[in-house]
Amino acid sequence: MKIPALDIEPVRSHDWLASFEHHFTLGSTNARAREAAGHNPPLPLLVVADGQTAGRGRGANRWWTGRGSLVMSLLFDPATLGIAADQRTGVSLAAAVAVVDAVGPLLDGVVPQGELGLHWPNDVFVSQRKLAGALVETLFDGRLILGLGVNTNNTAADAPPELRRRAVTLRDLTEKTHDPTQFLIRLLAHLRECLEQLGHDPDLLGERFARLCLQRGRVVTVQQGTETTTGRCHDVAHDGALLLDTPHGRRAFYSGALVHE
Amino acid sequence: MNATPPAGDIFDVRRIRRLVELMNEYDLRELDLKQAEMRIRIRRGQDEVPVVETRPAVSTTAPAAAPGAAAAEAANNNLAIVKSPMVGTFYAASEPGKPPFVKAGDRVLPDTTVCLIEAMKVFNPIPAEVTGTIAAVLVKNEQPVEFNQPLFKVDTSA
Repeated sequence: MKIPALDIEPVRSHDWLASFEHHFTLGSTNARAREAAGHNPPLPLLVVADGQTAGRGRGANRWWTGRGSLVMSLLFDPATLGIAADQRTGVSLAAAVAVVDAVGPLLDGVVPQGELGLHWPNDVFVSQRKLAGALVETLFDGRLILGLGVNTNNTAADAPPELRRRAVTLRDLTEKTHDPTQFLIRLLAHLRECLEQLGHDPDLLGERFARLCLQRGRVVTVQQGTETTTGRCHDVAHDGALLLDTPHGRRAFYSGALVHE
Repeated sequence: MNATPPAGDIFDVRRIRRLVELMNEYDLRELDLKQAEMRIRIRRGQDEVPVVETRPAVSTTAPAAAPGAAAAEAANNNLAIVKSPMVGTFYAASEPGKPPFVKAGDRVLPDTTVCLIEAMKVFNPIPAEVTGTIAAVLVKNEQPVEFNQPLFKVDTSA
């Protein structure tokens, strides 16, 4: 299947972005954004790569990038969006909500309602498979790097065998490719809207995030290092905390990974 | 203004007496409690280290603090404690397989990154905030940490 290429010009002239870099291949867009941060580029800076060889997740996790996927990092100053220092974890929530908003219309009528949502803390899942992930790095001076990977025009058939059944792409779901330029511009609009909402109405953003979380009401296991905790998810707090009812009472989790059953 | 503490108030004298009894019973040197906007910290003796940190079982306050807000608190004249400014997971190195940011015996400056704390997949570099030598690493890689939990001891005399 022919994969449409990103049209650079409409992204370069995007009214929100002050700087833009497009690379054919990078180790990691976050690493490139970190390197660029040292040269104080006008912000926001968007780094996009057609391919990534060392994309990162948490811990030892790696982000698989198949041909046609979207990988990007946004270097920005959260203060310019009204985001206070103690709201930075919310950027992770805002990114997840923005991706759901961007892919939602493309999946209308394609996947049953309720199948698109968030796998705590912030992965975008469709029918129990991962469509997108985000990771945020804070710099000492308060600037943030938001790294995003969205499985758009790639196909899970090209993924390593261990990921094939856990990943899903827009192309796989809709059986067609999507204009990467239009998708990126739509995603940027949703990102900006969600980040601004985090700055000005964090409860509303938190409520949107919580409503999308697929774990509510379910029994889940959270792994933190060598510790695991199992409980029923009572709810997700507006600051993103996973609220688990455990045999020892209700506990709030701000970190850890859900163990795949 | 009503001077009587409300029921369950952590500043209730009987409650404080009971806390001190518990500290003696369990040989705790410091107790640090928070309730809504109120906080009480009880210490006994001059020794460093043990800190008992409690959080409400369910909190809706944001866990994150600005990098640089890590509390490097003097425990005695020559020893500072670098504490976690947030709830999250402690990462000793930038990536698995990479050497840790610091280990015992390493010299640090106030802006030296000593670890990362991750919450909600947001990674925050934690600075030493003091000049000295790492005397001890108090937590393990990928261990969950609480707000204000001691992470490192730093010998500031070295």
